[in-house]
Amino acid sequence: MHVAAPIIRAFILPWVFAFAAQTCAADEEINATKESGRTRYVEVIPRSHELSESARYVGMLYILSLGTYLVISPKEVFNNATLQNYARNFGNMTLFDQDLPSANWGMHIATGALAYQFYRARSYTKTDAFFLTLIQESLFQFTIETLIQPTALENVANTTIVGCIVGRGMEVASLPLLNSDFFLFRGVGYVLNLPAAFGLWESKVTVNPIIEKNKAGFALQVRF
Amino acid sequence: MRTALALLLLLLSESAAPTRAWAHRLSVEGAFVGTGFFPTGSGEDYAYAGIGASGTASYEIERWSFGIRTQGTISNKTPFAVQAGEYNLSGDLSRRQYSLGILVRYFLLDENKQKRWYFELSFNGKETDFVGSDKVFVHPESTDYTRLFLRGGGFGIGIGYRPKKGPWFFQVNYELDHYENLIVVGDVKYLNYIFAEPALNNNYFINTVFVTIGIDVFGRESNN
Repeated sequence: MHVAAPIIRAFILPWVFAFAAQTCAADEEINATKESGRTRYVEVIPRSHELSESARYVGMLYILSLGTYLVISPKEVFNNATLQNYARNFGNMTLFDQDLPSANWGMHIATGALAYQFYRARSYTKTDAFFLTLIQESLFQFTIETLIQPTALENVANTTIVGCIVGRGMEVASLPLLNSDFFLFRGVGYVLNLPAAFGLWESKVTVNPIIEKNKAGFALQVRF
Repeated sequence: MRTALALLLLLLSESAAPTRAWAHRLSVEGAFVGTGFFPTGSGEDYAYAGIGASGTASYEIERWSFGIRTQGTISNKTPFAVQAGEYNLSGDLSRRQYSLGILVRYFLLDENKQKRWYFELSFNGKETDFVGSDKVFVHPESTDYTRLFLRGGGFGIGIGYRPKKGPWFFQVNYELDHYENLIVVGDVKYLNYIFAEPALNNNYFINTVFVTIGIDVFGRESNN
């Protein structure tokens, strides 16, 4: 695999799918700049998902990853992507490849963290987000990447397990930052939680102050 | 494959349930590991130490836990000498070590029937990547960059403890690995194998002690 491939996968692909997912779910979004109140990010409140919704996310991310791979590795794909190569590579599956640590322990983890955060933003439980990240990575490794080179199980484990660990850590760290009054902290929060930056975070609370004659307080509004 | 997919779907459907038995859940752990290597055998005569990180995903059923662990460590620079077939390689290098393993844990219950102490048995594949091997050893057939790997595997036993409060856990493992393959990779961009020797000396064992401080990332009471 080209050295740049995991870098592009890590930094380009998540942004692309974040845009796409935002488009798909635009009707579900709440207005984060309500004039009457302030939106605060809260820990994910899981909701149930139809199988079709999950399949839509997985399929969309899969198609985007395939497209991205075609764009960044056209020579490898068009010269080597044959059924014979696929069968041979599938048969030569290995525990480890010899990719650079920046790929195996950098970019794979970054992509796993972003995929996990994406599913969390869509209000999946931690367990569901983990398995959806696993499905996403397995689909990528055993179809797209296997066309070019034998898949290393290390990639799947690093992306899914360590990626989810890092993604969860970034998620926990981002919430207080996103709710900060200081714009720089909010900026860091969005960097740590890119799906929130694209308006994909569903678990938000809108705080509406109530100030009337002889009465003061606030109303909380939660939308999913 | 169909069975694995069915299992995944089963786990997903279970995790979507509103309540979840504590003793029957996915557990994801992140950990910092300190390592001490105590090599024996004809190919290695130096003790060395390192630090690293690991991630574990396991499924807990009652007092048993079955999981997958990926681990990466980096150790200090020490001399090494390896003879593989006609090749006699030596140098003074630090090394990255990657491990991918399956594990099973058995928990003991305390007086409150909480899972505190546990024993662990694991089977691991290992790969050692010598850092800067191109500077001390340049294979004549390599193009512009040479990397040197040892590959093998073994088993480990461990004991761990989860304190009563907090998500932390502590663990000590002993592992015995047998390195069997020497791999030299030239031109890191395309990762062409130059040779792989299946007979690395006759007796290349490495003993390792791991001390782990970890955190249960998904929490112990719930996976939501």
